[in-house]
Amino acid sequence: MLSRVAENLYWMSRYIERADNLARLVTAHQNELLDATSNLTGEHEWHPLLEVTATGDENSSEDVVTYMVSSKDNPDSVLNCVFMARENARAVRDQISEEMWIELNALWLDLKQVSEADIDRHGRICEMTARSSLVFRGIENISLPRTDVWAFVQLGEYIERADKTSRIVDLPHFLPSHEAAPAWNTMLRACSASAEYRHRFGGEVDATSASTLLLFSNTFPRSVRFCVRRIDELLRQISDTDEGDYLNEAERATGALLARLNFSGVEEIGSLGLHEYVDSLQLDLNRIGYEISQRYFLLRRDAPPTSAEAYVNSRMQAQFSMQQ
Amino acid sequence: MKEQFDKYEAGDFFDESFTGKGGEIREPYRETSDYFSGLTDERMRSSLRSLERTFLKQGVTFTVYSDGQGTERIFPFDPFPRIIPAEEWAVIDQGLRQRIQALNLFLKDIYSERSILKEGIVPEELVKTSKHNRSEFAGVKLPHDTYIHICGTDLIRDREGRYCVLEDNGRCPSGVSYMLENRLAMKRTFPDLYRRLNVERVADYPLELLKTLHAVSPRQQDNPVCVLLTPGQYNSAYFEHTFLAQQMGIEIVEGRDLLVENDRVYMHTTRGLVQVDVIYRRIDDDFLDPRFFRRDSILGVPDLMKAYRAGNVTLVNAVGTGVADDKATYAYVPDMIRFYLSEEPVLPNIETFLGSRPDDLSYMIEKMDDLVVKAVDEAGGYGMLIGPASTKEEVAEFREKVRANPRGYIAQPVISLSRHPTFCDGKLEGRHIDLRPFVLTGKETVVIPGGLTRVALRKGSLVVNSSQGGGSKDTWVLRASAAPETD
Repeated sequence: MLSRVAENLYWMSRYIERADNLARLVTAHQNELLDATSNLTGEHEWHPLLEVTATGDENSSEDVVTYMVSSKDNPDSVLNCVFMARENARAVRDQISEEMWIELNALWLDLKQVSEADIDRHGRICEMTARSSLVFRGIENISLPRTDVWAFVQLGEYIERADKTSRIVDLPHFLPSHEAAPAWNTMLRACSASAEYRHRFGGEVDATSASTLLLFSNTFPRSVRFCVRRIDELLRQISDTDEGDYLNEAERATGALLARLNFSGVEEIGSLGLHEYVDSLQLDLNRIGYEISQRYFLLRRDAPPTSAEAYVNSRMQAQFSMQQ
Repeated sequence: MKEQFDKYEAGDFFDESFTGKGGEIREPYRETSDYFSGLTDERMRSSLRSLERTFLKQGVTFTVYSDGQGTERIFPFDPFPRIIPAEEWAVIDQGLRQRIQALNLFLKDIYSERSILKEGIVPEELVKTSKHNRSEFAGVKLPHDTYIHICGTDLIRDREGRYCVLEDNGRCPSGVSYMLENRLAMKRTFPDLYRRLNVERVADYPLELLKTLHAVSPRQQDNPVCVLLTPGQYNSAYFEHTFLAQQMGIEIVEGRDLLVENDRVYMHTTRGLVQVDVIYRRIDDDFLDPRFFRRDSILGVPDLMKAYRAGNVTLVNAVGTGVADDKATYAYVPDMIRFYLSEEPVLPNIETFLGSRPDDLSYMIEKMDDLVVKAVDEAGGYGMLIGPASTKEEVAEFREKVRANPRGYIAQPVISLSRHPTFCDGKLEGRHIDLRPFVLTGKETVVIPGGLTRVALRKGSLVVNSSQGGGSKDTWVLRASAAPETD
């Protein structure tokens, strides 16, 4: 497969996943706010979401929900993520199934139809996005042959999901301690994990059980460990490498992270603290993304980015400037 | 819709479906006009809406990037099909084959022996001064001596209903995806009508194109690697590029996906470099290779022309076909046919006056009010003057342009293109049309029975280009035999 095509598939998938996670996070947080006992006012209400999604522009005059959902200036708003997913899909229309393209295209056209005057505009955008992303994954699952096309689409999906779940777990860190408890509910709901939590732990939600489920579950499909295991399988499928071996730095970094999650998670949280632990997971995930781009996407003509962060930034700028 | 048919005025033009003023329906159109006049207005409106939705959802659009996130427009489509009976098509088919054969012989000749120039049939000066002349590639040997693999000749019908050639698009003709999508949409929306007529298939175009690409591969192996080179997803024809690549099952590449080493072309893949044999390029000569043509081109591939010259890659269409597209060269195509094939042209040209011929020039200058004047190297309806429809100032301005650069202009009498019933805001009205059939040539020539009928949607307008308010219709070529279609 063309390197550029692989990159477009990967980013198409990352962007729709990003849109989906953000949409569900906003919806869940909104829902929890309605029940909040103390009145968190103004910026404190939504500030934590900006922190965990690592977005935010101090100069923006838009309110936080607008900024996160429908802003044109925020490259990572739900709306812009859907746009970018569709633009990446458009570049590889000939590779994905017709139905996948139609779903993304229809979502974008439908979101543009949501009137600015609609009082529940943001709620509707989030709901449509989350729903369409489920449909998209369903179509992907039943229409894509299990070739490299599938592998790169899945790779984007699981990397983005691992990153977003790890960030969502960090939500309580940004709240005053007496408000942290409701955030655990938000966390679970944003990851569609409430039912699984009740099923497994029953009763009251506590921080340790909730974060354990979202970080280390071997069976819950949005947990970081589950996602990283999938990334490990996919990378080895692409290069045809045996389990436990590695052929490139992306595979090595993934194997190392998987071992951390498999064998030393809880101890590390004990010694580092949850927030610092989650930070270190995100660095590892960035590293994996960088190594994937080095191995599979880089064209000889491009100057190689100097670091994982530089890669993510340059990619974002390139894509964002395209739509301006 | 019956009332609309009763009110329809064929006007003082050649009308495709009615004879003369307020005349009789032409036989090939009887079934179709009965069908449409039997529909209620409501049914017609809902069919039009569903057609539009289909095009939009499928992304059969071109994009205008002016508001940041891009506005997508569908290429306006009219559901009243243009119908061509078998015996008319047989003549068109023969004429197109004759013409493409002559054009390919001409290109081979001017880039090697130059006999037509030495004989003085075509002036040497004309070829030398053509903007798209690529004499630096003279002598490059091409598979089967084919230069124009894909040709989209524009045909029009004059007042008497004669088919004439308006221009030969021998560089990167576009529009074929619309021909295919229009057919799909018509079959989906009006299956009952479609079944009643016996229409030739157009769906094999991608397969025929792939065969053409395979036939001109320099490495004759079982599965030559063919790619489609696009300027990228922000090009207005990008939909067509992905559509064709997907239908053929070949990779769609941008310049940055390719590189040249040891005079061979490779593409970057996730499994390393893969050699490329044939490039169906949808970018102009000027942008192919920044080391050779325009230095500022970021669309092209450095050293691509070295690989081309070495014969290790075939470009489709070849480099330098633009000479044949020069509107002044066009005037000599009938002479080419006589020179190379010793035949009379089956499809006539439009009478053409060349600025480069002194007598023609003085006629052009004098009669410019009555003529259509065109720049020789422009396309898409740009760089032209329609004398009778222009102000005195516009004509005077053009006169100066022609005086300053006579070689750069030609003139033709105003041809009142044939008209065709077209649904316009719920009414049935006559609109001017042309026809772009598609001709493929690898080792042999294939003419696809059909084409893109373009229609000037603005009342009275003679300009059918999509950039100037044009739309399209499906084109139904009827089969000679009475056997019903089985697919």
